[in-house]
Amino acid sequence: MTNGNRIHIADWELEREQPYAYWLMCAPIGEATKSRLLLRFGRPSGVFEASEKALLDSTLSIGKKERWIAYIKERKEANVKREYEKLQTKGILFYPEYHPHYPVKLLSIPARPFGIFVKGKLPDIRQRSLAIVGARDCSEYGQYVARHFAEKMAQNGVAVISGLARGIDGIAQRAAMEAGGESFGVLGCGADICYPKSNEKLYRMCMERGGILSTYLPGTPPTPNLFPPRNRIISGLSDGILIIEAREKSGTIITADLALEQGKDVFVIPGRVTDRLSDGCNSLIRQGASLIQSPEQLLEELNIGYGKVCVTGYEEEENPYEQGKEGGNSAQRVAYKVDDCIGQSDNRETFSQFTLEEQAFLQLFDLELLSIEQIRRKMVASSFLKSITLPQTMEMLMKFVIMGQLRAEGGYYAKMMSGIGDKK
Amino acid sequence: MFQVFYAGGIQGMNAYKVRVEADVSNGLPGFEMVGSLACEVREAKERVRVAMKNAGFPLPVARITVNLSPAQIKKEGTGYDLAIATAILACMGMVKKEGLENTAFLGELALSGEVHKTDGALPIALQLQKDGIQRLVVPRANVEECRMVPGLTVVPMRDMQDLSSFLRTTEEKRKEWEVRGAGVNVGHDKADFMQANAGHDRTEFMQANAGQDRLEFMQANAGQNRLDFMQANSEQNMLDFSQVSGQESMKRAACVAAAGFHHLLFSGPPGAGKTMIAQRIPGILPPLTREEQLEVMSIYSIAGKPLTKMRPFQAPHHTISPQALAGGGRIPKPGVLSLAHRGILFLDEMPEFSANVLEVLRQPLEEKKVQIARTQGIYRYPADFMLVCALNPCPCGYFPDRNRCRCTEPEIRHYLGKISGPILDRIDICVEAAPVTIKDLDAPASGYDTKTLRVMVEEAREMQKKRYRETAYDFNGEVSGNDVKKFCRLGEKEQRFLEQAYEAGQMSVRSYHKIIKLARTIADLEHADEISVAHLAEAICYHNGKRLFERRNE
Repeated sequence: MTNGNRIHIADWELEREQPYAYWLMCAPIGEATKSRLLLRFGRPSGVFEASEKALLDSTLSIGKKERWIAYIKERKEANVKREYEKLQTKGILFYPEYHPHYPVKLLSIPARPFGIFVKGKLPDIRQRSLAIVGARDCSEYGQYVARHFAEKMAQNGVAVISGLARGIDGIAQRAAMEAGGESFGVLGCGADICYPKSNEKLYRMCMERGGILSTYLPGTPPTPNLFPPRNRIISGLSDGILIIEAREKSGTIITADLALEQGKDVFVIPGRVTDRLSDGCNSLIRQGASLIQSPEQLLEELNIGYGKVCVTGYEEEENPYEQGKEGGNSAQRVAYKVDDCIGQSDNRETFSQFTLEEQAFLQLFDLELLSIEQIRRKMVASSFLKSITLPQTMEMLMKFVIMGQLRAEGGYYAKMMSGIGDKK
Repeated sequence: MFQVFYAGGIQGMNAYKVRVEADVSNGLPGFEMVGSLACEVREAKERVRVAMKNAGFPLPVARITVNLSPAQIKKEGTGYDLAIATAILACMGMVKKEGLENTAFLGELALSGEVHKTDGALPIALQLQKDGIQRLVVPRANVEECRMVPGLTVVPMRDMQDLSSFLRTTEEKRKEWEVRGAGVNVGHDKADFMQANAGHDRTEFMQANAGQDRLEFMQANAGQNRLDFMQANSEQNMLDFSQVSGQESMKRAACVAAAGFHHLLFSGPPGAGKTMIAQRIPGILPPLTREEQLEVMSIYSIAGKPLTKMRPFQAPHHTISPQALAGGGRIPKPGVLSLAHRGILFLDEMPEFSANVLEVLRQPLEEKKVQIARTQGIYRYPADFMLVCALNPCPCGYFPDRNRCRCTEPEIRHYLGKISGPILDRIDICVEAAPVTIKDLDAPASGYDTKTLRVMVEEAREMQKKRYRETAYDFNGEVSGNDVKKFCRLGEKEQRFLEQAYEAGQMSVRSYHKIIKLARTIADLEHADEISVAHLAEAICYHNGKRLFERRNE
């Protein structure tokens, strides 16, 4: 494990060393071995020009020698330069561990990657970043929470990092970018491959409003064994990790464990005890992770003064590295709440315009989708509603969907949500 | 000697009169058959020869030639045997020809001389009667169906012995062989009579009429009436909507579908009652009209299936082949789609049907018929049915319950993607069935039972009959294009409601007319002359069920 020891290359030499660094990156040896080689020979070109005997020295403790031998036997200056050019044509940037742009946050994680490939850009060192991960088969609740939190993070200048996967990951990243923020996706395959295909649009958005990152060679196809290592990169790059929905034994929980190993803060959204999708989350809370109920709480935990909405604006966050929760002072707190309320108060006013019957009807709905039959069953149990006929029910449903109180999806209906953490 | 008698043939759904000409002359002994014959018709030669020999009338040693005219239509089937035998008997001088000018003969001969059932007897009888035939000699098994034809007397024939007796006697004696035509108790009274004696009452009735009385009763009511009576009391009537607990919205949807003959889709977890409800829909459809009955029975006759006067209910298994569904085969016969004509085609577990089987549905749903092309011509079978589908919303069946459903999005998309857009387009009503728990099974029955629903449907049908009196339409679902504006008028408030719905993303331009037509059916059920906002809302609810597929197909 080489953590602290890094070689140093002068700025003007960086570009010249790149092709050799890429050559070393593609070598069939372990990450740690690559670092050791650099230390031994001082620079990538040094490794490339070293003799076969020197490269096979036993003190280097290289594992499977055969492939390494073949690799060094066929090294050729022209090929190395050509391969690097190919990489550049694909628009992929490469940062080996000694590069000044190599993410600082990754330097200190156990078993750091030797190099990182980037399409787009890397997260800004000065910027706060939050990893948002969760189940691929999330529920309506998870989707809603992911969207809402990602939006608020983006509005407060926090970059959202995730894995571009189906479900919570993709939803959070899309919501962050649509709100004007930046998002970075770390892939479990080569940076030039878009996986899953259904998130192609997201992949392209990421390249423009953030970056696509990978520690795997371009062209590496996505296979299951590549995902756990990339999860550690996701948490490694972030200041904290937010878990939204996770089953008891799932990839998301593994990622949470990795984050703890790296010493990152783990924030968790609780869920209903009857939902299997919240089992992992609730379990983490039991083990001591932070329970988060609103984006404001999360921003507070990240020591960010909330209330500053613009992303491109000049307003810097107040002392992001300063301890003490007084970062967001009371004046700003009030401002935020009022702003937030404006959108909601409309709903509250119109709500009281409805008859008691209609209000009782609307109370039946929550985030989860209900079929007409399920709605009817609930109505039968309520004294206000049991005398409403089926055709009348459908009429009310449609009216409320058109007015915006309810939303319809397929033949299922649910409440149209206005905000989280509002106290009615 | 040259003799002519008449028989009938079928091509597709069309029957035609066939002249059977026979000639016996000197020359090298032989038996030739001509007239564009399929091979089973050619084989009649052997059947007739042996049948006649075994009946005691061996063929003369002479040159026998038989021609089936018109010669350019390819003759199929085996119903010509009887007419050929008659013609040859006539050539042998064993037939008294007076009175047989307007008599036709239908039937297949067994080697023993017995006369066997022919497929398609009913449509042939109908056509022959139109062509001037007044009396039809048929196998015993075909008597029931042929008696339905008004204006035609029927003579059952058991075997060659009887045939020769019949042909040898005088015309007066022949009258005794005739069976009574369309029986007593026709018309409305009969319908009441039948239904008054359905179900429970029937058991008592039967017991009250046990023994001797019953025998006479049965014989008095043999044939036609028996068919009605038996079917009025068949198992179909034992099914009732009240036997399904809960699932109000499915029952209501079934009622709306039945009222306007709209196509219907049920989606829901296993055990919710989708199949049960589908099986009970024929019970709320109004009875077939006389013309429809003849139509349906003709199809069943051609297919060789037992006749029925009830609304057909066909529920093919999902392993069915496209040919069995649409019809065809080397000798084309109507398929399941045609057997469901005027009735219900129920596809249970719809995604389990293979894609090319489902594709077969497209033309019939569009054109209400099935067309099969063959070298000898195009066969057209009617297929105007009400489609009822049932499926689970995902492979495990429990979507959207995330606690039980572990299906991934690609799995669901693949599963539902089998059902193509064009077919989904034709389905107007889509409802979700909720999962059923033990508590629900004990719950008191809701207001909807078969009797109530049937009355509602019949009244809605009456309104449609009145409305479309002077057009070719029967149901709201059939109205096309500009006629929608004419027959399904909307007030200003209703128009605005639709616009708001469109803006809220609840409707597309495509579904605009369909929703209005569906709303018209719902209004008919409520006895409303004008379509109201409530009716439109309900129609949109039903139509939106389909969006389940759109979401999964993104």
